[in-house]
Amino acid sequence: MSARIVINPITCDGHGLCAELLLELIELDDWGYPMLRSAEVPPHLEAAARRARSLCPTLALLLAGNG
Amino acid sequence: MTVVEQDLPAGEETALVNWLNGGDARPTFAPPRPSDRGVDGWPTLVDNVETLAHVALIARHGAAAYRQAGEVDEPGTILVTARGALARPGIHELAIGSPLGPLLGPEPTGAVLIGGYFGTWLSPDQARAADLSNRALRPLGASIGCGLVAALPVGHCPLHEVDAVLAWLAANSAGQCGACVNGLPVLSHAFAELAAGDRTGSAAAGLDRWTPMVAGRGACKLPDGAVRFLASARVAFADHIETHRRSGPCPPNRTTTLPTPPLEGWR
Repeated sequence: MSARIVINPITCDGHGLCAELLLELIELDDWGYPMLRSAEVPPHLEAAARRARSLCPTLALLLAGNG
Repeated sequence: MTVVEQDLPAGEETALVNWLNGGDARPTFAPPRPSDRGVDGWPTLVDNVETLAHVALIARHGAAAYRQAGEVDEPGTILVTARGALARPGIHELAIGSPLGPLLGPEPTGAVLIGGYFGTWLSPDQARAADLSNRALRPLGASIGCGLVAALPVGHCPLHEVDAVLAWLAANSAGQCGACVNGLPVLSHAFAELAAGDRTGSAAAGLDRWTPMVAGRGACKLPDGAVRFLASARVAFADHIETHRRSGPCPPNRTTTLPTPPLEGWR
């Protein structure tokens, strides 16, 4: 079972790092806030997802499941 | 007992719990939902007073007696808030499934908003033919919602009313989530341009682009509700929008049906 990305919309400030690190899964809306193309993290992107989680300046990106 | 500040997001269940826990009356990120961990960390039941009144009636008189009103799958009564150009404005307790016609009354009305500011616009004919149950309203894209039934007067411009409500929703969000803080004012401005007469089609294009960027992306249901209300208006008033596009906006309405009061707010 893969990890799922969950973004806390309150904590998120639209820095946009996650979209740079995970451009396959995340794109930014017109105001710089992340939109998930897909919440499921495929195996080959798990390392990138963990990096996005630890590098988010407000720790708004969370991983649910076994991430 | 405690008094919560009168603010738009304050009644949302996580906002209420947050307030009771000493924080702002603004929604928090879930999980955990209050039913798992709420006030002082305890599982917390959040209900409105109308629900509790129904529970008290069931406890006193029994389920069978309660079910004598309403429908099989939607038993009981609801409190309807009737506003605007209909026969009897005010709050009425009606059995679920009651026809809307008598509530609207014998005089013609303009469009009817069902369910609240997150609700759905119906044409006068649709509203008159409908019953007040989710079973009857669902095929019309509507639901009972908070029980509001608001009828605009004949000849009033519905776009002015929608514009005012959208601006009010945008101004009264909790101001926490980017999609809502940015998206609702943008949608509100675009609708105002649509209502002013969208000659180039750019307002409609903006609404099409930004609506999916707003719905579902907040911590609470305010952005979803606003988008639903807006989308319903664009469908219900498509002809009127086209008239504005060709001939410019209507003059201001003589009266306002949908209130947009200033709120104390957490600000």
